[in-house]
Amino acid sequence: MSIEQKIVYAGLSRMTDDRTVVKNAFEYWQNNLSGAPFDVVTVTGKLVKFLGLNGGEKKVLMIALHAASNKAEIELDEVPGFILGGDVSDVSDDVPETTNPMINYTPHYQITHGFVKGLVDSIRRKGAAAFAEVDEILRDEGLPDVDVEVSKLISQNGFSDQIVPGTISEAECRDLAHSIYLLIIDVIGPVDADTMVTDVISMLMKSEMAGRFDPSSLL
Amino acid sequence: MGSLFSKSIFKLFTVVCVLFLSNSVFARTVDAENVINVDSNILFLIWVAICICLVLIMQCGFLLLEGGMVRSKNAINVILKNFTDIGLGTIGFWAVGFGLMFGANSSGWIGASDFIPSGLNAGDSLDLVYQIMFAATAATIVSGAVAERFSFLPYIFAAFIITTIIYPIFGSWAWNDAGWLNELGFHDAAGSTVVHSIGAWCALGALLLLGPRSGRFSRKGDVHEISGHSLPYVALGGFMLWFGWFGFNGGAVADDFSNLGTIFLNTHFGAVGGIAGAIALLAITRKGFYMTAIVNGALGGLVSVTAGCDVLTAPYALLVGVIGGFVVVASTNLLNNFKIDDVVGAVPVHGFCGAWGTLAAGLFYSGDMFNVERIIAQLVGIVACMVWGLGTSYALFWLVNKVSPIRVSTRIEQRGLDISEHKEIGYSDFMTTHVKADS
Repeated sequence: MSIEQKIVYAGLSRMTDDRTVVKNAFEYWQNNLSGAPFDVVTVTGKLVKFLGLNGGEKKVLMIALHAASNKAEIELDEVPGFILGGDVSDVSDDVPETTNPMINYTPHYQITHGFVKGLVDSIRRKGAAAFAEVDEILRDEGLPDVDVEVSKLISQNGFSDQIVPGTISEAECRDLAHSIYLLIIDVIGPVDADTMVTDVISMLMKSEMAGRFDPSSLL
Repeated sequence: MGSLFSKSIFKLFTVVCVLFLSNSVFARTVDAENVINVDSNILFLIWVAICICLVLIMQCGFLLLEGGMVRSKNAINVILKNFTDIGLGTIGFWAVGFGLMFGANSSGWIGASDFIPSGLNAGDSLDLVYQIMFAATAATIVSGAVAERFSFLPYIFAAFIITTIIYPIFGSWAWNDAGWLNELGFHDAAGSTVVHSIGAWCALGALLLLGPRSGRFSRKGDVHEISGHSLPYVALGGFMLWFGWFGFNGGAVADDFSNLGTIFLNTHFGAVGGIAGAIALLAITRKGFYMTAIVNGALGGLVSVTAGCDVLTAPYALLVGVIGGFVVVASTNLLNNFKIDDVVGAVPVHGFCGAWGTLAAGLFYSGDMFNVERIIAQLVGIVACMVWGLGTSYALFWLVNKVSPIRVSTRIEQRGLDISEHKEIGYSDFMTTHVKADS
C-alpha cells in the first residue's frame, strides 16, 4: 500500500461519511491518477469534476488532502479492504474499519518499525535520487553491526520498513537505528539527517507505544 | 545701538577670559622639584600587563569562534577544551615549558634551566605570564580543528604535552637568544610560526589520525557542509581576536616603544587586508560570500602580518594581509579536496598563513627587502616548524590513541559530545534532539 493511497483515502473520508462515494472516488483516482506524481491541486480538481462537488466540499477535500500529505505515513490510517477491492456492504458497522496489523508485536518492534518507516518516507520526500542512492547502498553493502536476520531482510527488501524482523531485541533495535542513521548521513549529510531523525522521533513520541518503549532510546 | 553695545561687551568679556585662563591655567610655572619622571621600565611593565590581558581576551575570541562553528550539541565540549588549554597548559608551561624555551641553551636546541620558576621580579613574572598566554594560544588552535569527534580526556592530555614540550622546544630554536634558528637570522616578531604554525601543524597531525566527522564526505566524494550553530558568535569571536591581537603583537614592541605605532598599524592592516583578499577570491571563484570565510580571512591576515609586524611598512602589511586572505580561501578548498575535515579552518588560518607571513617578513623586511640570506633563514624556520610540529604531534596522538581512543564512537558523535562526555546540554531550552544523559 502506498502513501498516496492513504492520503487520498484520508482526504475523501474527511470530506464525506458515505462509503460508496469514498470507494467510487478512490477507484477513479486509482485508475486515472495514481500513475502520475501526486499533486494535491490536480487530484482535487479531478475529483471535484468526477464527484460534482460544490465550492464548500471542494475546500474541505483540498484542505484534508493537504493535511494528509504533510503527515508521515505512520500517522495515516490504512485504507480499508472494502475500498481496495471488497464490497461496501461487506463491512459490518460493528467492526472497526481499520485494524492495527502490528497489534501483536512488541513495543520496541513497533517503535523501531515506525522509526524506519518514518525515515523511508522522509528520504522519499527528499527526492527520488536520494532514496535510490540509499536503497542501492543498502542492497549492495548491507548494514554493519546488525543481526543476520536483518541482513537477510535488507537484501530482500532494500530500503523499506520491511527490514525490521518481528523477533528483534531491544539492543538490536538500537543497532539497526544507528546503522541506518550512519547510512543516511553519508547520502544526505549529517545536518539534514539529524533534523530528519529528530522529526521522526518527535512524531513517534506522540504515538501510543511511546509510553511502553521510549523512542529516544533508539538514538 | 543696544545690540552693538552687547556684542562689544561680549567680545571684551571673551578676550578677558582667554587672557586670564591662559595665564592661570594653561601656562603653568614649571617647578622642577614637582615634575613626575615616569620610569620607562615601569611603563614597559604596565604595557606588558595590558598585553597579557589582551591575549587572554583572545581566548574568549577563540571560545566564541570555535563554539559558534560547531553544532549546538557539541558547544560545551569545545568551550571546555579552550578552558583546559589555558588551565592545564599554564601549569605545564610554567613548570617545564618555560625552562625548555628560555632556559640556558648551550646546544641551541633546548633550554635546560629555569624550571618551576619562582621568586621572580616583576618584569620576569610578567614575561612568564605573557609567554604562558602564547603557549595556551598554540594549544587552543588544535581544539577547534578537531572539534565534534575528539574525546575529552585524551585531548586535554595531548594539549598539555603540546604546551609543555612540543611548543616550547620549537620556541627555544626561534626565540631563545642561543637558539639555532635565531642565530641563523630567523625573524618571527610575535609568533606567526612559533605560535600559530606550530599549533596548526599539531592540529593537522591530529586530523590525519582522527579522520573527518561522520557524514562530512560522502563515499561519492560530495562535501556535506556542517554549519555551526551560531554564526554571530563566530563574528564576535573574530572581532575579539582582532582586538586581542594588538596585545599579541604589541608585546614585540621595542623597549623605547619607538615601533609601537608601526606594530599597531601593521596589525590592523593585516586584518583589513585579509578581509579584502578573502572577498576578492570568493568573488573570483563565485563561491558565495560566506561569513566564516571572510572572518577567517581577517584572522589569516592577522596571522600573516604577525611575524613581520615590527619590520613591515604599511603598504606591505596590507599586501601581506591580502595574500593571507587568498591563502585562507584557497587552502580551505585544498583541505576539502584531500578529505581533511578542519572544523574551524585552523590549518589554513594558522598554518598556511603562518608560513606565508613568516616568508613575507623576510621578503618585505623594511630596509632590507628581498635579502636572499634572510629569506632562506625564514624558509628553514618554516620547514623546521612543519616537520617538528607535524611529526611530534602525529606521534603523540598515535601513542595516546593506543592508550585511550582519541575518536569518540559514532553513537556519541550522533548524540553530541556535550551530553555524552559532560552530561550537560548547552541550550536545554531550545534543544530538539531527544537524548538522555545516562543512555
